[in-house]
Amino acid sequence: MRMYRIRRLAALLVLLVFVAVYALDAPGLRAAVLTAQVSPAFIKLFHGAAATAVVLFAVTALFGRVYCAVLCPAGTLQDIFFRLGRRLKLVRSRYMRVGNAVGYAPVMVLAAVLVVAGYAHALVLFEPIGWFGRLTAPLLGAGKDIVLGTQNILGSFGAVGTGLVVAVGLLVVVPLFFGRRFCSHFCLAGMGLGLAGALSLRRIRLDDSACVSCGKCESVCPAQCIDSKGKRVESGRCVLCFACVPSCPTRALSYSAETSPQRRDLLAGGVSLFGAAVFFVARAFSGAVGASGKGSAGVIPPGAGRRSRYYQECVGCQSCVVACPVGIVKPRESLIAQPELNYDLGYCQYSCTQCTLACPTGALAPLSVADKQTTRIADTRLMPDRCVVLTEGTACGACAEVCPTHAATMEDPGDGTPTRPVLYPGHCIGCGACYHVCPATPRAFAISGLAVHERALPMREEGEGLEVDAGEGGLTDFPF
Amino acid sequence: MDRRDFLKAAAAAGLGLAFAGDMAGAPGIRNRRAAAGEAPARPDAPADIVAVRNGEPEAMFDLGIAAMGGIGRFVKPGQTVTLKVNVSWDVRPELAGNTHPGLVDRVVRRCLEAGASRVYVVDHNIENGQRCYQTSGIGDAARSAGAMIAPAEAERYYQSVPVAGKILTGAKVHETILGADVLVSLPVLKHHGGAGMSGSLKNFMGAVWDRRYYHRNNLQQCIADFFAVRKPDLNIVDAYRVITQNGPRGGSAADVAVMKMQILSTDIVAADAAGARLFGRSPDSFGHVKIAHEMGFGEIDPSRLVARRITA
Repeated sequence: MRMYRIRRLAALLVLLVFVAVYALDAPGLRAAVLTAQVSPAFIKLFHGAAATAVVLFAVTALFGRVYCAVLCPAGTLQDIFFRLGRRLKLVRSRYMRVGNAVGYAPVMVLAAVLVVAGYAHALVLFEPIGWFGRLTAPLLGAGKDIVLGTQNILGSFGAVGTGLVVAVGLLVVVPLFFGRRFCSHFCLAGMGLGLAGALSLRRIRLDDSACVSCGKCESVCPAQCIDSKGKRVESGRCVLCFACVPSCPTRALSYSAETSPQRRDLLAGGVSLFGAAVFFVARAFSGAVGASGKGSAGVIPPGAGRRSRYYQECVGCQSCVVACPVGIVKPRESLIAQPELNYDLGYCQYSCTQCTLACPTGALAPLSVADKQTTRIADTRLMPDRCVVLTEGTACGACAEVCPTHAATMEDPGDGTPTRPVLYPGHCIGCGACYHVCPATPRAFAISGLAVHERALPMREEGEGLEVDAGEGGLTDFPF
Repeated sequence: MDRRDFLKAAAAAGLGLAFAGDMAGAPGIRNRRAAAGEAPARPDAPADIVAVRNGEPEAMFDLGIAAMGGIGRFVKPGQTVTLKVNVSWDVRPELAGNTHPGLVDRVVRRCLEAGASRVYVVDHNIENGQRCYQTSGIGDAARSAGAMIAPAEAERYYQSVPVAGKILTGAKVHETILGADVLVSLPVLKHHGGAGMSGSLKNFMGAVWDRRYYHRNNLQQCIADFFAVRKPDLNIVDAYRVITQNGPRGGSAADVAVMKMQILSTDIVAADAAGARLFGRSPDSFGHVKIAHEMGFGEIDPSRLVARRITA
C-alpha cells in the first residue's frame, strides 16, 4: 500500500510539473524538463549524447519501468482515466494473452511500412511525450487565450485539428476502457524499455503458493499483464503502478528481487529490444535518405536546418508550439504533426529565438539572435501584378514596412505614381512578414519552405528615403 | 487620498496660471482666427504649435508644453488620458522605430501631475506586442511613470464606429482612443516606404484593428479619413532620433539621423506639416497630409498658427 501511494503521489507531482512547464513562458526550463524523457534521450543518441538514455535504461534494468510509472506524464494521464473508467464501471480489465511480441508487432510492421514508403517521420506518432504535448499544448493555449482574451475560443481550437482529437482518444478515451493500451502496444519508449523491464532485478512477483486466482489484481492492472489463472506477471509490460499489491486478499503479490529469470522473460525482452532497434534504425534511415516529407512546401522552424533531420529528430512534444509568442508554430493539419510555421496566423519575429530554445532533442538547434536573423527558412516570391500599388494605383508599402531585413522595399518609379515593392531575395530570411500583411487578394507574395535552410545576407543597409543632413548636433533650422 | 488631493491642488494652481490661454486655446477657434489673418492677441499668448530643438526629449517636452500654456491646458483633474504612442516594433530605442521611452515617461508623469485620473498608453503593435513594449523600453517607462498599458492584441478591445470618411466609412477603433477624455498623440517621426512619412496622422493607423483595409483601399485617403472619428487634443511629435530611410521599421544605425527636435501642436495637420519640413519636403508632397488638410482636419501651414520656436 505504501509503495502504491508513494508512486501515485510522485507521478501526480511529475504530471503537475509538466503541466506547469507547458503553461509557463519559459522555453529553456521546458526543454530541460523534457530532456529527461525517454524519447528525447533516445534521439540524443544520434548526437552522441548517451548519458540520459543509459541512466533510464539502467534504472529500468534494476527497478522495472519506473519511467512509465512516474516520469511519463502521458502514462499518469492514462492512469487517471483508467481509474475513472473503473469507477464508472467501463473497464473490463482482464489479462491479455499477447506478450510483448504480439503486442508490439503491429507497430513494428507499421513502422517498417512507413519507412519503406518514405514516411519515416510518422514514427513521431509512437512517442508518448508527443501525445502528451498534442493534448496539453492546445488545451493550455486555449485556456490562456480565454483568460487573456487574446483570441476567441474557436480560434484557439481551430488550428489544432486532428492532433488534439487523436490525443484525447489515446490518452483519455482508450484508458477509460482499456487502461494503458498505448503503453503496451504503441509506445516507442515502452518498447525501448521493455527489454530492461522484462529482465529487471526487482519487479512485481506473484507467489503461486499464496495465489487463489481470484482475479482481483487483473481488474486493477492498467497494463493487463497479470495472469491470475496462470499465476504469473509479464514484467516487460508492467508499468509498475503497484495497484495489484494492495488489491490481493492473500498478499501473494510483492515487489521484490527476481533471482531466476525465466525463458519467456528473455524472449519478451528480446522482442522488445528488436522493436526498439527497428525504430532506431528506421529513424536513422529516415535521416539518411532524406525521404521524409518529400514534396512538402511547409516552412520548418528556424534551427531545424534540414527537413529530413528535423523530421528524424522531432518527437512531437509541441514545446516549440507553446514557446512561439505569436502562435504561428503549429502542428501540421495532418496527423503526422511535426510543427511548421503558419504565416496565415502571423509571421516569424525577427529577434525571437524562443522555439529553438524550447526543443529538448536538438531537432531545432538553439540559435543566437544574430544567427536566426541571417537564417533563410523559406523562399519568397513577389508577384507585382497582384500588388495593389499596380492594380489600384494607390500607395501601400505594407510589405516593406514589416520586412525586417529590407529585402522587400519600396522604390520610387520616378513618374509621380506611388512607390512600388521590390524584393532583394539575397537578404530575405523567409519570415513571412510580407506575405502575412499583404492586403492584395490573392496575396502578391508566395512562400515555400526550404528543405535545407540557407544563410542569408545581413540586413540591407542601403535604401530609398528622405535625405536629411542633421550632422552631429541635430538640426539647426526650425520647420516654420 | 493625501497624494491625490495634493496633485489636484497642484494641478489647480497650474490651471490658474494657464487660465487665460486656456479660454482662447480651443484649436478650432485659434485656427479660424489665424486663417482670417488676424494677429495673435499677445506675443506671450500660449502657442498652438511649438518647435523645440537641441535638447533631450524630456527637457524639450517640458519647454514646449510650458510655451503652450502648461499641461493643465489639456488635462483637467479627474480626466482620463490616452497616449497613442508608436510602439510598433521589437527594436531598441537607439534605432528610433518607436517613440522615445524617456519622452513617454515624462508625458505620463506630467499628465498625472495635472490630475489625470488614469493614463493609458496604447498602440496596436505590428510585431509581437509583449516584445515591442519590452525591447523599446516603453513598457517599463510607462509602467514606472504610472500609466496603464492598454491591451491591444485582440479584436475585442476595438469597437465598431461609423466614420464619415471618403473611403473609410467604418472602423474598429481601440476603446481607449474612443473613451478617453483627453487624447494625446505621441508618435516618432520617420520615413515611411508606403505613406512617404509617418508622423501624427499616420500614428492613428495603430488605433484601428484592421490595418489591411487601409492598405487595400487607398492608404493615403484612409489615413486622413480616420480623423472624422476623433482628432487628438495634443500632438507631440518625437523627432529626436529619426528614421530617414528604410522606414518605418529601420533596424540599422545607418537609417537614423539625430535631429534633436520636437514638435508640439494642437493641430494634427500642422504638426505633420512641420515634420515634413524637417525632412526638407513640402507638406503637400505627402498625400495623407495634403488630404487631411483639404478635409478640414487642420492647417497645412504651421506659421498661420500661434507658433513658437525654442532652442533648449
